[in-house]
Amino acid sequence: MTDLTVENLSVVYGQAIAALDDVTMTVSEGRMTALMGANGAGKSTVLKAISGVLEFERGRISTGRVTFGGQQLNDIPVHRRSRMGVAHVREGRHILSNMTVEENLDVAGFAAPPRSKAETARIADRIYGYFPVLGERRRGTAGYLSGGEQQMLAIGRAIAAEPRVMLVDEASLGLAPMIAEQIFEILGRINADTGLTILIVEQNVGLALRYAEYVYVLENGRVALEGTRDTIGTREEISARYLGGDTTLTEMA
Amino acid sequence: MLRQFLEFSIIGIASGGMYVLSALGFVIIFKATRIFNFAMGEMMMLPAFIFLWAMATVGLHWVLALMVAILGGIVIVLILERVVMRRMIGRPVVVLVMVTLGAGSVMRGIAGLIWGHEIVTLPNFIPRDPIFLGDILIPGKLAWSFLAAAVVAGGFVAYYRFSRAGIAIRATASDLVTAEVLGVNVRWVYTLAWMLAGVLAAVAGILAASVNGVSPQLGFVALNVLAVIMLAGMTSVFGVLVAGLFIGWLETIVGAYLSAAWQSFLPYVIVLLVMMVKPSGLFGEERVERI
Ligand SMILES: Nc1ncnc2c1ncn2[C@@H]1O[C@H](COP(=O)(O)OP(=O)(O)OP(=O)(O)O)[C@@H](O)[C@H]1O
Ligand SMILES: [Mg+2]
Repeated sequence: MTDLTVENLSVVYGQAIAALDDVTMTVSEGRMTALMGANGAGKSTVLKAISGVLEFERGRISTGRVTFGGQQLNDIPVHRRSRMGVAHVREGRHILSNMTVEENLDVAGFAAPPRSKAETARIADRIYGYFPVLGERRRGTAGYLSGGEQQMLAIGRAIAAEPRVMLVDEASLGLAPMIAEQIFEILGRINADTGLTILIVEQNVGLALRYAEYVYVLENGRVALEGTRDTIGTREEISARYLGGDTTLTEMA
Repeated sequence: MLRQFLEFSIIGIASGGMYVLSALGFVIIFKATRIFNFAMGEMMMLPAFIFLWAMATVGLHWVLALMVAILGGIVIVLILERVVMRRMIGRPVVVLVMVTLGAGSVMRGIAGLIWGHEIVTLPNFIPRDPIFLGDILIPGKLAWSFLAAAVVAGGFVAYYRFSRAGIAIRATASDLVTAEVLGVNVRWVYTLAWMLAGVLAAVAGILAASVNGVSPQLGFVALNVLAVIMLAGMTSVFGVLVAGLFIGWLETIVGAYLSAAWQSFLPYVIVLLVMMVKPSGLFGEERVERI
């Protein structure tokens, strides 16, 4: 089993700011899992603890551990975690803006064993199959892509790493509803086609509930609610109770 | 008249080859690590002494001596990077820059202790017979040094552009966290960049020494390289190629037609003028930023 687990995780930024408090989660192999919560609840911090990016933000795991397929990740450098199959699509896209679309995909090759030219091309074609726009602009400078296209590139780049688990932070942020929907549709398809384990952080409850089978909701750095899509409650309830949504909806429900 | 001008021009461009190499070394370290390395001149000087020692004292053939000097240069750089710079990761950039300045002084001091302060000429190893392009005469040393610089610079640019390692350096230069998240070992990239700069500096130092001799002060020619880098724009590999040759040309022409006094500062006047018009340098990458 290559489940991803977070056990009793507490994270502190810069010695003082406690961002997570005793969070325990399991991301089961082959499943799409969603992590929701209000702004500042600690969602991104969970992903950073898993990929190791915390190290670059003066963040530190104070207690608990992250494991992947039974192996503890806590002290493993970021690039080694990515070579173990952990891909992290960070909040804010982080495109290598001076490089071309193709080169952005090439960089992700560092997370995988060295590939032949043919294999690199095959993987790129697969990504261009999911996101045809990227194929059309493969030689174009990545920084000139639109926001939505950059998000597609960020996800495509993660796929190019051929990961075993993919962490996606706010894929829909700032995108037109149709583009967001399209990106989730593709994530769902990748999950179904290849059995890739996916953990998404998402503010759009409707989208998350439609695609994820299992859901965690964070509140002030703690897990406030968890359950399968069918048992966790309606979109309105979750919005109202945990995301500061319209409370009248809860009263109606 | 015209023939003389052409002759000076070619001599100037040829002497720019050494600037190109050492400026490439600056740029590669700056791109990968954001450190402005003031020890670059000393990274040229020490291998030049090692080369002299290997050839004159040990009696090696110049090809072997060159290899020893380059290896020595790499070892020195690794010590500098592993023992000094690596402990400084995360400190403010100003501190890092000051540290390279300090390291440079220490290296100069050590060279002075070992080899003294006189200028020593290298044994002849580059053919001196002049080369004729039509009826234009180029001194042999200069022609062969330029060829050597061109080969090394060309090899470097190809490596940077097309190799897997080159992609890793460019990704790190653009966004180090993203590079690391995508599987690039950024610390290894830092080391690699320093080592590449070490090789470039070693060759540049030996070429400079073959023309002007070697002393602990040899590294001060790297100050002229600052003009090259500013003109090129701190991060442009292509810009360095053009600017290095241009500064070499300009210095020689000014020296030939005006005087040595002009030669020492006119290039900087030009650089300042360019920077007033275009602060990022002639070829500085305009960062593509679009949120
Ligand atoms: N680099 C950092 N340094 C200091 N504090 C941080 C840092 N990153 C996050 N925090 C703090 O940690 C807490 C959790 O932040 P996090 O980014 O994980 O929240 P989030 O749930 O992803 O929020 P959002 O929905 O706004 O992205 C917040 O209080 C935030 O201010
Ligand atoms: Mg976040």
